[in-house]
Amino acid sequence: MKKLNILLSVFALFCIINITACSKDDDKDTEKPRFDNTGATPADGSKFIPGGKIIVHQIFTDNDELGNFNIEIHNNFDGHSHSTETGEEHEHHEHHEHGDESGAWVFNQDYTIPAGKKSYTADLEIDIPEGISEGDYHFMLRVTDKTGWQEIKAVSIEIED
Amino acid sequence: MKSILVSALLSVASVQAIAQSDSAWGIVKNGVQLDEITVNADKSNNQIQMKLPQNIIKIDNSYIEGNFSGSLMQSLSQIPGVKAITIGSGQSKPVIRGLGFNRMAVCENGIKHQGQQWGHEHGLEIDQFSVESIEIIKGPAALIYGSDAIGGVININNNTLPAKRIECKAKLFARSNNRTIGSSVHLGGLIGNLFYKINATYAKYSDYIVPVDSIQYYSYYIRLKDNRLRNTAGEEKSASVAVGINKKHLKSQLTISDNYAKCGFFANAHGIEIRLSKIDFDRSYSDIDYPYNTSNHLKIINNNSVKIGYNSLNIDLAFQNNLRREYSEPVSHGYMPKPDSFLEREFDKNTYSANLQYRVMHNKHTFCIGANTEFQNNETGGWGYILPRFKSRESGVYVQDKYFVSNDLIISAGIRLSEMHTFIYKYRDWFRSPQTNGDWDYALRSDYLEKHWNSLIFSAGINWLKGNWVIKSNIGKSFRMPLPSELGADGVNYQIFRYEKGNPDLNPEEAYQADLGLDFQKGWFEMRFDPFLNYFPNYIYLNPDFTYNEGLQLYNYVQNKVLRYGAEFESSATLFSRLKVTLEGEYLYSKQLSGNKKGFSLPFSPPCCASLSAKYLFPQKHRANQLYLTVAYNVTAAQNEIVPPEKATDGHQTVNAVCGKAFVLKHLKIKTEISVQNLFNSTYFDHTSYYRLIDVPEPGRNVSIMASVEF
Repeated sequence: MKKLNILLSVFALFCIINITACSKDDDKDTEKPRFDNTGATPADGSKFIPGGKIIVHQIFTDNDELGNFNIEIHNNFDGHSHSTETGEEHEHHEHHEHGDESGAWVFNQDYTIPAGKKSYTADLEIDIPEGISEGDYHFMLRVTDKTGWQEIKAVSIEIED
Repeated sequence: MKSILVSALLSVASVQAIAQSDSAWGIVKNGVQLDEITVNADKSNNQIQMKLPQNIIKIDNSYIEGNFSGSLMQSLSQIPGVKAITIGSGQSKPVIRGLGFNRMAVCENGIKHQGQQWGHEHGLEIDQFSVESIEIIKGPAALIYGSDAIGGVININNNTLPAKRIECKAKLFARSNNRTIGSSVHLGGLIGNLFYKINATYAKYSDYIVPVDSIQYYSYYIRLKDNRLRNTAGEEKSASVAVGINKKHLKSQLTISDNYAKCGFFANAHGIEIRLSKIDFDRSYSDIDYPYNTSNHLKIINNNSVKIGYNSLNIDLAFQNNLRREYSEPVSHGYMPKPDSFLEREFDKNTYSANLQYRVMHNKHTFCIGANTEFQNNETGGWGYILPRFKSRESGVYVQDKYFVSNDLIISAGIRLSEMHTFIYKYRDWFRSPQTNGDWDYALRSDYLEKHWNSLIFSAGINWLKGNWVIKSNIGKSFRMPLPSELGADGVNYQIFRYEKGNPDLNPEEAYQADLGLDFQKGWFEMRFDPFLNYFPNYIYLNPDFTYNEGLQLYNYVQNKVLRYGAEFESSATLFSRLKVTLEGEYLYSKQLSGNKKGFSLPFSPPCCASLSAKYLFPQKHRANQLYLTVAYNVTAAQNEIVPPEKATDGHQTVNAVCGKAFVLKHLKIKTEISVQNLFNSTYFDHTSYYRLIDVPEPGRNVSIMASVEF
């Protein structure tokens, strides 16, 4: 019995060491940047026309310091999805006739955020070229913070006359 | 005197009875030699502990059988200090003391296994059922093994002689969670001085079950049909043939083996991006659709050992081919148009290796002089570029001396000089994209690069057997050659959706380690404590940056100072010669001391964990029969020490149980075992699992059955 007691107390001690030893350090940034979606555009399901403009309004926030952001617009003619919009099961939008992928629009642009910001509002316009294939597109936003954490947001948009 | 004899007999009885399928303890267990374990069973453990100053654990195939899981490393992951990075349920990669990928080496019969170890989703291509015995060396072992042996070495020995004129073993196994069904057969024998061994294994498994019916990733909600992770089915086929000669002064063996695996990846994600596809993955749980990968690993190994008086000369020669293909539905990305093939990546590696070792015994010294060389040729294909074509060569010479001050005190020291050479070929995208000058061109992703490095490393240690204690200490330096991806990457990694930028000025990574091993054994009680301290002045780290490059977050290769320390602890007590209670645990601390992520830990850092298990041997009529029940309670702490892009992982507890029976029927040795993993179907996340990145929990309850017949 004495042997068992020794063993159990060693186990208890070890568990205590385990639990207390794994406490976290304080001065590291362990939080990802965030999207503040107040008045954010484009909204999920917005419609645009070739030759028109996409007005982008998005607030980014971070607990420490923001990094940079990127906007990517690509076609969703094959029905793939990276929707991050809602918490419910997201049915991808009713498909219009599949656009011609060779004429599909690809937009990808990196934007810098001035250093030292904990909050930043992006207000910009993106010109939609004429003559691109029409159909469902994805509008993706990516943002980093100074530490290298990244957050992603994607909405579905439609471009057609 | 009488009491000593009684306690000696009792410890013999308990060790002998338990020895058959013990947990990894440094005690050699060999099912065939059950009746030959002598009174001083403790001595065989000491023999192993005294062999090397590094921390060493030796296990044999009965341990693997008793703990078998979907792949070799998963079967070994209960051993303190050893972990598996799992890729689904049937593939995994080894990690020793938190170091994996190219920071540890797996060797088979002295030859380093060369696959595509750098990849997160590339499993170790070795058939766990054909393994005869394994030595796990924790700590720097570069002296003999050269580059990559920083965290340690998993030394697979398939060099043992068949024990009888003809021996045959057949196993059948099944696992409920992913509906695995499989079988492994072994045939071997002696014909005069010649011997032969034949192995074949086949296993097929379906999509695995998790304890939740949906996965939430970012805010995307993926429903799982019947809790199954769609498209994670797979299959594995292996075969090997070995022939050899065993004479008094010469032993030679030629082994030809092939391991083929096909493994599906969870269909709703491609790397870390959610994907929906028109493929009906839910029509069957066992079909393997896109995305999936196949790997084929062929090995031809020739081992030779010549005895010259008290000295010996070992020569090993080997050829390996590793062919890995990753298939997925093509999509366009950025400026890359939609490819017209399903082959996303292809890697074809040929490795040629040779080892030479001469061991001389003189007075109280055992000198070892050796040399090894390895040449690799790597070809690539597929539309998703990640790695250029390259050739590499590593050669080294080493000298080691073991000085036997007495049989109980050994001092060893050695140095090694290595030369490394890498030649990287140019690669251009197969599609055009806008360049900095505004023109559209085929972007240059990797330029010609030729690198040449030298490395001098050392190792020194002491082994001291004192009464019931074995005390060891070792200090050493290890290194590894930078990979072509680390030197020359310059493009999008479509598997994980980031831009990776290499650094052609990287130096070979160096690591210094000091460790201590305290091993105590006295009759009913055994204890082991192995602390270590490890420092890298130039750890090669893929650092997530805040900038974007071609639309994806930039990760660039840097070299930082890293400090790590930790310990493993094991203890067991044999009570009433029938009940063995074991407590084991491990702890690891990692910190980057310089660079952009100063103060952060390293990716895939295993959290500390402990396990308490009890094994009970039921009384049996016949000495050679066994009926046992083991219950294990595993506790894992939370992992809050994370680096981008990881997420913190909560702690968890699981319970496993094993019930087995081994008995002898005429000339047949029959073993049956039924085991349950995750008895309470807990939902938990494993910080070192590949699918953790997309919030997939670990498999739910699994019941495994194994039956084997040996004659």
